[in-house]
Amino acid sequence: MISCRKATLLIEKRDAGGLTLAENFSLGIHTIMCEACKRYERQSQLLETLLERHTAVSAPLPGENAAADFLVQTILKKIG
Amino acid sequence: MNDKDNRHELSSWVRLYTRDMLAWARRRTGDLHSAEDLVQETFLAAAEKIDSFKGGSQPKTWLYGILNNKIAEFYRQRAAHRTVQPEDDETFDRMFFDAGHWTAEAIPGEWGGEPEHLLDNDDFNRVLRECLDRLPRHWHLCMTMKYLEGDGTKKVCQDLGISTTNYWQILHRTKLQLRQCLELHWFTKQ
Repeated sequence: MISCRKATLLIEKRDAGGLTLAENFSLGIHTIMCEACKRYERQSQLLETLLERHTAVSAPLPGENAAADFLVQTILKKIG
Repeated sequence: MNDKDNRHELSSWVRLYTRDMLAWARRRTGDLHSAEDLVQETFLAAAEKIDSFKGGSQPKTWLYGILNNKIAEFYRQRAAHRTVQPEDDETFDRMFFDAGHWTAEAIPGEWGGEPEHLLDNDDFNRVLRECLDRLPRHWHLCMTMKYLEGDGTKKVCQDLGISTTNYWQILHRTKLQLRQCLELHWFTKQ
């Protein structure tokens, strides 16, 4: 059976684009039998959702608005 | 259109689009300073090429085209530093696994609570940002691009100049570290 380390890698690979049939099967067997990796899989799925939304959020990060205003002035000066 | 009109038009674009372009570049480069440089270079390049712009696409599309090219160049310049070295494998993995099994310190614990509302929680967002900031810069970048790029793995790897194997390795380590950070600083404190 595959190791927990391998299982966590396959979970990542699955989220990013897909596994071979054999990999999918190995992962399935492992997570049925391993509580820790079953937890990891759930948590990893939650993180996927959170990170996707976090990345997509268009609200400016701290300091960004002030930086943008200052940058506008800098650029306007440079293009004359 | 004469030079003065060109400058006037370009200035209006600077005022209109800088903020969004900065946010766009910031997410794709991982830091504000690099993003500022790229946005500035974009407008300087636009100033030189403005005569060739006439009647083509929308100004915003044109400007983002220049900006995205500069971001791609930014990635290529950093490609050499992104390969996960073989010796990194051992050190990092030993923090989580012993002969392939979870170590006692790293084994995932139970996360309670209602995850659906987490992103509306300011405290959680702060903790998430802090955990993200602790990631090595190019890991954070790799991860950001995974969620930003609609085109999938191949394109991300192309832009970053890394192999798909390397890409999986980076995402793997990123997820392991992030999960642990959040468990430590959020989920076990609830």
